[in-house]
Parts: sequence; C-alpha cells; structure tokens
Amino acid sequence: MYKLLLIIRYFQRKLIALFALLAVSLCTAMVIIVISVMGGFLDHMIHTAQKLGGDVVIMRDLGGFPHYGPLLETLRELPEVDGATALIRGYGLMKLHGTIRGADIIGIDPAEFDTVTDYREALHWDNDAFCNYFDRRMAATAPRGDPRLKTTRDWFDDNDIIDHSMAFSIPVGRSELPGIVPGIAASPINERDAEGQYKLQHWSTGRTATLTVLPLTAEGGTLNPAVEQFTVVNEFKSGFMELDANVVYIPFNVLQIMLGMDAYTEWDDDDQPIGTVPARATEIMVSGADGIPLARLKSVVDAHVARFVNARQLPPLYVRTWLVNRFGTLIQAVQKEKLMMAFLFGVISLVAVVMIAVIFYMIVMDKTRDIGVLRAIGASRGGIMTIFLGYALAIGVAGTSIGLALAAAIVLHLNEIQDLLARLFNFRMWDPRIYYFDRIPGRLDVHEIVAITLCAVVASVLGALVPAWLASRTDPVTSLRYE
Amino acid sequence: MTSNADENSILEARGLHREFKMGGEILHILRGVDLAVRHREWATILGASGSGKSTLLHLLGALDRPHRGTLRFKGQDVFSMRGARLDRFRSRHAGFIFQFYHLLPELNVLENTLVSSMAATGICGWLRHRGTMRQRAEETLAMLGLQDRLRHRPAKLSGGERQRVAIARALMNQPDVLLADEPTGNLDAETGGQILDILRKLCDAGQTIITVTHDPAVAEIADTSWTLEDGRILPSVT
Repeated sequence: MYKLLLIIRYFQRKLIALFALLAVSLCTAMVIIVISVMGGFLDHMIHTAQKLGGDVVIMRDLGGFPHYGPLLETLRELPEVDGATALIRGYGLMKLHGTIRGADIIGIDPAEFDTVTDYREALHWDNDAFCNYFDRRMAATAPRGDPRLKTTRDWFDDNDIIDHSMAFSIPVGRSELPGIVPGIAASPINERDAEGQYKLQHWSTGRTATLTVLPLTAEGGTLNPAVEQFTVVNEFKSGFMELDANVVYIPFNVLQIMLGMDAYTEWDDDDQPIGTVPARATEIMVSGADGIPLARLKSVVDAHVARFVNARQLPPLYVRTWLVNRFGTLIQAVQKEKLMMAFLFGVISLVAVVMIAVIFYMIVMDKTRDIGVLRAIGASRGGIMTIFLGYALAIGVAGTSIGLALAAAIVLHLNEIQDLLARLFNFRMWDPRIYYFDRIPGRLDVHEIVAITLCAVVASVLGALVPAWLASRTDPVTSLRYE
Repeated sequence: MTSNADENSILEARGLHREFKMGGEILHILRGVDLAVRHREWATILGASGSGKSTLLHLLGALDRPHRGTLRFKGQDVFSMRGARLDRFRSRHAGFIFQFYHLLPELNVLENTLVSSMAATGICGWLRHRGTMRQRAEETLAMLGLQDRLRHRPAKLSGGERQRVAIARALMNQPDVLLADEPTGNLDAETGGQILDILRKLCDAGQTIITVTHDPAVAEIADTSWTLEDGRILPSVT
C-alpha cells in the first residue's frame, strides 16, 4: 500500500515528471494524428476508387469475349450477387474545347451500371450544384439581383437534371448526338475555386466532344479508326484523380459499334451467310450482396465463370477483385506508406522512451535517501522497483490520455484548424485547388488508437525499467549517508 | 564478551566485523564487536565521529550485513535470513530514528507515520486493519504533541517536530528495538532535551532502545553506555 501512496504523491508533486508526461502526450498525439490522417487518406482513396469499380470484374482482353448476355443472366441468379453489368472498355482520343487528349473510354448502360456502382452519386452536375451556383451569383449581385439568374435558378429547382438515358435536355438547346459523361478533370478548362468547388461557368455540359477509337478484331487485328461526336450531358466526379482525369462514359451500344464488337453476319466469297459472330464485351462488373465478403464473392464468381466457360468451350476468362484489377498497386503503395509512417514515427517516439529513462534516472538520484529510508522501514527491493515502475505507468496512462484527447481534437477539427491558420497567417497547407480531396481526410480508428496507446504506456514503463532497477539495487546504508 | 549477555537479552552481537573498500584501500570499521542488550534497556554506544557508530547501528538493525559475526535477536540468527524475509523481519522488529529525520517530503505527517505500517502489512493487511493503524498513528502523534500537524508536510515542521514524527514512524509497528542514530545531533540543546525525554519515557514504558551518539549527555540519561573505539566496544561504564 505504501507503494501506491508514494506513486500517487510523486505523481501529484514531482514537477520533473511533467516533462515525461509531456513527452508521452506529444508522441502519442503525433503518432495518432499521422496514422489517422494517413488512414483517412487511404479510406477515402479506397472508397473513391471503388465507387465506380464494382466488387469483382470478369474480363479477358481488349478484344472482348462473346456470350456476355447469358453469362450476365446466370450471374444475376447467384444469391451472392447483387448486380451485374456488361462494359466495353477501349482507349482513344477525345477532343473537347479544342483540346485533344487520351481517354479511357467505357461503354455502359447507365441504369445497370448504377446498380453495380455509385454512378448516379458520382454525376457532378445536379440540381443542388446549379442552384448553389445561382444562389452565390445572385448574392454577388444583391440587392438588385439579376432576374435572368433567378429565372434559370427556378428552372433548375423545378426540374430533375439527372437523366440515366444520357438524353439530357438542357436549357441552352437540344442535341441529337449520343451523350458522353467525361470525368470532371478531363476537361481542360475545369477549374476549382478556393473552397475546392468546380466553377459552374466552366462546365462542359452541352458542348460537343469528339471521340476517336481504334477497333480491334476478336483475333486482335486492327481496323480503321472510328470517329464519333457526342454531346456532353454531365461530368462525373469520383474523387479519384486517376478516373476523373482519364475516363469518359458513353453508351454501351455506341462504343460497341465503334469498336466493331457488335454482332455481325459472316459471309463467304459467294455472298452467302456463314453464320453470326456474336457481340462482344470486354468486362462484366459484379457487385456483391450485402454482407458477402469480397473473397467469397470472387470465389463464387470464379467457380461460376469456370463452369460457364467449360460448358461453352470458350477461351478462359479472368476474375479479379476491384482492388487487384485497377488500383491495387496504387492503394497498396499507400497502405505501405501508412505502415512506414507509423513505423518511422514509432522510432521517433523512442526519443520519448529515452527522455523518460533520463528523467527517471534523475528522479532516482534525487530519491536516493528516500530509498534508503524505505529500505530501513522494511520495503523490499521489489517494492522499491514497483514504486518507480508504477510511477512510470501512471505517467504513461496520463500522458497517453492527454495525447489521445489532443489528437482527437486535432483530427476531428483538422480542416477548421487549417481554415483558422489560413485566416490568421494566410497559409493554407492543403489547397483544394491543387489536391484532389477538398478537405484533409482523417478518421479515428479504435483498433489503431488502442494499439498506439498501449504501446505508449508500455514504452513509458520500459523507459523507467533501468532506473527502477538501479533504485532497487541502491544500498540503503550508502544512501542514508548522503546528506 | 563485553556486554550484558544473559537470558534477558533481546539482542546479542558476537564478533561483528565490517570493512569498506575506499579506492584501493580496505578500511576496517568494526573489528569484532560483541554486545548484548536486555529487554527494556536503553543502551547507548558512544564514539567519536567516524568511529563506526552508524555502521554498528545498521548491523544491529539488519540494515547491513557484516563480513563476519553473528547477530541473534530473541534467539534467532538474523543474518541467516535474506531478501524479503530479512526486510519483513526488519520492518516488524526494528524501528529506526535518524539524525536527519529522513521523512519522505511528499507525504504529510500522518502518511509518514503510517508508511512503516504499510510496509510491514502488505495490501491485504492494510485494508483489513487500516482503521486500527490510523487510530494508532493519530494517538502516537498526539502523545508526541503533533495532533494539530497531521496534514502538514515535513517542510512546514521544525527540526524537533520532524524528529518526533520520525519517532512516531518508528513506533508504529511496535518494534522490539528502537535504533536511534544521533537522535539529537541536528537539534538545539532544548529541543534535543525534549527528544531525550520522550525516549526516556518510552523506555520507562517498556521500549528497548539503542542509540549511537557522540554526545555524553545522552549516555547520562541512558541505562547502559558503551564506548566504541578502534572498531571494538570498550568495557561498560555504567
């Protein structure tokens, strides 16, 4: 009991221990903040990458595979599958606003695609976007206001501009061209304001885009390039720059025809029909039912596809998870960076361990006489060691608690802190005009926090281990001689 | 054997030798000390500064180990015990009073007094008997005139008050022997006299006391006095 009493009293009254407590607090806060921001970044990246990626992808190569229709129907019957849709993926050039750039062109059925992904949610220009824009414009022209702005604003308030058919009616006119939905960063003129919001005056909706693609035969041979014009009916923003800068969506049937993947009749030299070459698609994207783990979904789809391929004696198809298929390397790199950051900051936190060791050594030196007195009244060597280890434990627990509170306050208000720094010092570390995330991502994970705080407490006790041992070995007679 | 060794002896030391290494030299502090202290006796060991008085006291309280020699306490061979067993023995049978009081500065008067009981009983014993121990501490402190200083820390006490707290701490476990190292060495004459009066009263009430001092006045008030010279006890003068 004397041990507990002394631990409490030392903790309450030894000023020098505040330095140890401060070291533990700051190191704990530092590691939690870094892990939380990196973790938030990673979570955001995974979420945005998966937004338009589905769960599992069945694919072969750019030449595509036939009989995707029957495969789709049978896949949709699996209890593990929530939805499935066919895609055609090609590569080509897009001319928009007079600028030509490369593009990943994906042909989709928007309604089906939306059952497998968050396509509708990713469409950037919606009623709210337009109405907010007009509200800001009207506020800028207050108090007089602009009646034309109000008229247009009222129209957007009354009409739903999300149109899955890609036949989008816009106030500025009508178009008979098929629709195209490019990524919002694919347009050369799209610009973000200081708050990271895209400026409406630079929107591409209603503009004409020209796509040029290179069709391939089923055997991989090339055909003449196909060129088509489209009307931009909306732009999508997934939040993942790789997609938003390079991908454009057009109607499935249009791209299928452009790439020569539609069904056609083969003729012999006598102009007699030989047979029909079935239509092709390059991918089938599958989403899993709620609660189905990704690995299990892949396994089920794998087995189903294998049976389908064997039954029709088709060339093999490959089943990939969304992570492996498209952005696995990038995301795994970020995961490794997160681990590396945690490791490095953990190493840096060893400084705190050394500081605690030094502080406790000083405390033990200062308490040499008291140790002698305690031994004289019957305290054991183990009891002496327990006092200092318990003291370190108290510092560790208090320090990690303070560090955790500090880290939580910072992580949960990271963007407000940045905004304050921007207002006070005109310094913005995370410029939404440059970085793709509008706000600094951060999230507190319970498991990570528990692990970090436990390590910090253990490190605090370890730091005091040697000084505590030295204290227990102190000769009471020698220590009592010191005056 | 220069002692009062008889069947009434509570403590008997025979042939105690203690040496220290200082640099490359070995200093023989005690060269075969024999003594015995009876129950309820106040024995004083006189000696000049550096004569080994404190060393001898530490041996008698089992705070140190001799290179040679034995110490029997109530017939029990003390130095056959080691480690935690020896620590427990010391906490229950010996009470130390130091020249410089050696109170724990972070604890108040009451806590300083109770800490010896806590060390002797362990957590379970403390939880069972804390009420009794607390009462005993308060009564002992009241007996020593410190009833109004229970919550004060040592920094707020005078030298005499601190020494009284040290006495209270030493008495808490009702030790068989009180071992006082120069109990008045750091006090003025009047305060020192008060401390000696307290010790006299304790001895008259049945407490066995061993003091080491260079002050002949202490020897006059004690029951028995020996002189430590050249590492040995000279024949008794009382």
